[in-house]
Amino acid sequence: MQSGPLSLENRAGELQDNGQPLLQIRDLKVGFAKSHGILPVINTANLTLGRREAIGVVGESGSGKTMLCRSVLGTLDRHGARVLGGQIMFEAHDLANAPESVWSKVRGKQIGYVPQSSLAGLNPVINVKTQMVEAITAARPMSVQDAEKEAVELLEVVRIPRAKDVLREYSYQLSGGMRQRVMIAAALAQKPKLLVADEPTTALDVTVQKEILTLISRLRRELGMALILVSHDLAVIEEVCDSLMVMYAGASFEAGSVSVTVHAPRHPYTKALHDSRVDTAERGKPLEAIAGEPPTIGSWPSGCRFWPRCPLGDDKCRAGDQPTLRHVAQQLTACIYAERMGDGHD
Amino acid sequence: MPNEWVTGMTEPLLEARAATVTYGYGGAAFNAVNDANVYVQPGEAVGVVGESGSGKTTLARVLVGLQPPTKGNVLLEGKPIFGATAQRKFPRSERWKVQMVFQDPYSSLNPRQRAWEAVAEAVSAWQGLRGNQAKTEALRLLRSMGISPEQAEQFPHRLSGGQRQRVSVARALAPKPKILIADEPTSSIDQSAQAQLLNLLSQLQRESGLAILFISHDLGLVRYLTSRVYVMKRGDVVEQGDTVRVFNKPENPYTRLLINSIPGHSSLAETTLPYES
Ligand SMILES: Nc1ncnc2c1ncn2[C@@H]1O[C@H](COP(=O)(O)OP(=O)(O)OP(=O)(O)O)[C@@H](O)[C@H]1O
Ligand SMILES: Nc1ncnc2c1ncn2[C@@H]1O[C@H](COP(=O)(O)OP(=O)(O)O)[C@@H](O)[C@H]1O
Ligand code: SF4
Ligand SMILES: [Mg+2]
Ligand SMILES: [Mg+2]
Repeated sequence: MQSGPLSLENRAGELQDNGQPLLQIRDLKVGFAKSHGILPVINTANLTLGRREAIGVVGESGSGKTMLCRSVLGTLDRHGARVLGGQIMFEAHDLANAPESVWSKVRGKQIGYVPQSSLAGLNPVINVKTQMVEAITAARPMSVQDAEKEAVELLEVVRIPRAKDVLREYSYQLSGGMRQRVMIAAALAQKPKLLVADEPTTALDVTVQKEILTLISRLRRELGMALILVSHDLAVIEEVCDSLMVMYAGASFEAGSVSVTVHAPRHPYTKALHDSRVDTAERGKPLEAIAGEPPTIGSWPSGCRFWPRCPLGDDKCRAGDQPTLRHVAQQLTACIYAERMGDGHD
Repeated sequence: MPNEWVTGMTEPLLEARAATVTYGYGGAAFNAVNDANVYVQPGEAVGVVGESGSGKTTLARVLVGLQPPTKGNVLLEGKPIFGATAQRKFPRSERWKVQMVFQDPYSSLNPRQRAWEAVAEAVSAWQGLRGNQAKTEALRLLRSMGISPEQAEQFPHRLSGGQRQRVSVARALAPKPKILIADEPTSSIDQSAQAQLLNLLSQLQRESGLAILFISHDLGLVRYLTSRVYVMKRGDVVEQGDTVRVFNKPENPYTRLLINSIPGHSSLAETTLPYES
């Protein structure tokens, strides 16, 4: 696998570390443009990602994880949303309000994407070959024969057996795991510096999930790629990622290394997510589910958005605005009472 | 094994006896479920695990009476549910005892029905209540599933995935069943919504004596909720037994694979991909 289109030699020079983070999202605000005005969906998100680093993004359904991915892909406008403030620094360029002419040089080329619903990502009426050739020639014009050869190599990179046969198949003929491999292969076609994978295994069996996660982590190491992995499963993120950003109601709540964030969090929401896990729960003991539901967009509570569900919340939390991120111990946290949280819960 | 209950145990509430479901014809025929012996005792929480395509949903459909097995029998409280072969239909007078919650809460709820209406419809059908009485009972069931009266007024698309799944459970509880078959009920919802649902299911089982057949591809979930488990692979039950035993001392290599696949149970670095030479 070290020869093919993705060989490390091909990328020499591209991966030089200039000490700058690859991606830095600062105080990002995103909103939907509705007839009655702007509906904020992200306010505010922060994320720093080094070269070759893997960061996990967790949060309950509706917290804005997919919209964050779309911000990094420059596809917000396709979903009726736009950046309202903040920066998306990628390779030291601010893409926050970049025009499509700039995004089209970045999207699918320097940043690859595996979308949340991969069934939707693959077009059912054209075969795998057409789709792979499109992904490959998007940035590098070449003959169809060459592109086909590269498509086979890419499918082999993602460990698809009988790659030549699979090229002739349609997505509905593929199993969930195979479909996901094809999506990853297409995302790798331009040797991206960053892969954004939005819940790449949520719809898959545990056994297939294990294969896809193994594949993603290996490719990342072999290709020197950075990774944003969205998941609602902390166990998945612990397996794959170096760092973690926790999102709730459109805001970054906590960030830090995976191990500290999971085992010694400085935000009650992170702790609550961890406590609700079933994989580490004792049989027969009730799970410590988080009471209630996360707020829907347009009805975020004032003050800290988590206070209606927070065991530590008090009047001070209800007043004012959503607390901003600050450093406490090794963590970035948006809780005003972070200091009260001990040095780990297990 | 299938008859071990005869010698001492109480009669199973629901049982598939040597059940086979064959799909396709001629050379293409295959058994989606192959000679399965599966039973659930009254009040018991039993798991079925296996990968996609292993036959879990087909087995569930047979047990809930949605389709007859090609061969074998399904017994509810000792009586075959499909009657004489000519009239292979689960009689309505018995059907209320076995209820099912489906994998996908989007497609199982009518998008044009408010949450309480979906439940009230089942309440009318099974408890014969009408109008306000049906609504009151629907709201009570919904509240027991953590759905407030305000949320009960919503249409499904306005509810979260976890809420929709809890509405489905409330509706399944309308006939006051003896057993609930839950087919991957948490696979489309996030971890904290999953915790809420699992708590409610285990509470129903412990406090109301409802038997539960919990189907999942995730042995981690089954471990938490059930006391006995069947492992299915390509239509066959390849292992069964006490959940803790199966989890700690799996006998079948396939069970071991399922356990090692649970995130955190074996390192990715040591995982070999199936197609690697
Ligand atoms: N076009 C739209 N108009 C209004 N609200 C929208 C629109 N698209 C998405 N939303 C809302 O924006 C919020 C964030 O959505 P997003 O898809 O980013 O969540 P998520 O964290 O990815 O959730 P999940 O875990 O379910 O994938 C949700 O409340 C969603 O309902
Ligand atoms: N109505 C049907 N006709 C033909 N094949 C079917 C039908 N329903 C299911 N199957 C096949 O039977 C096998 C078992 O399916 P299923 O019971 O849905 O498995 P699981 O729920 O474990 O994923 C699969 O190979 C599936 O494609
Ligand atoms: S600021 Fe207050 S309500 Fe918010 S997480 Fe911290 S303690 Fe809880
Ligand atoms: Mg999403
Ligand atoms: Mg199924």
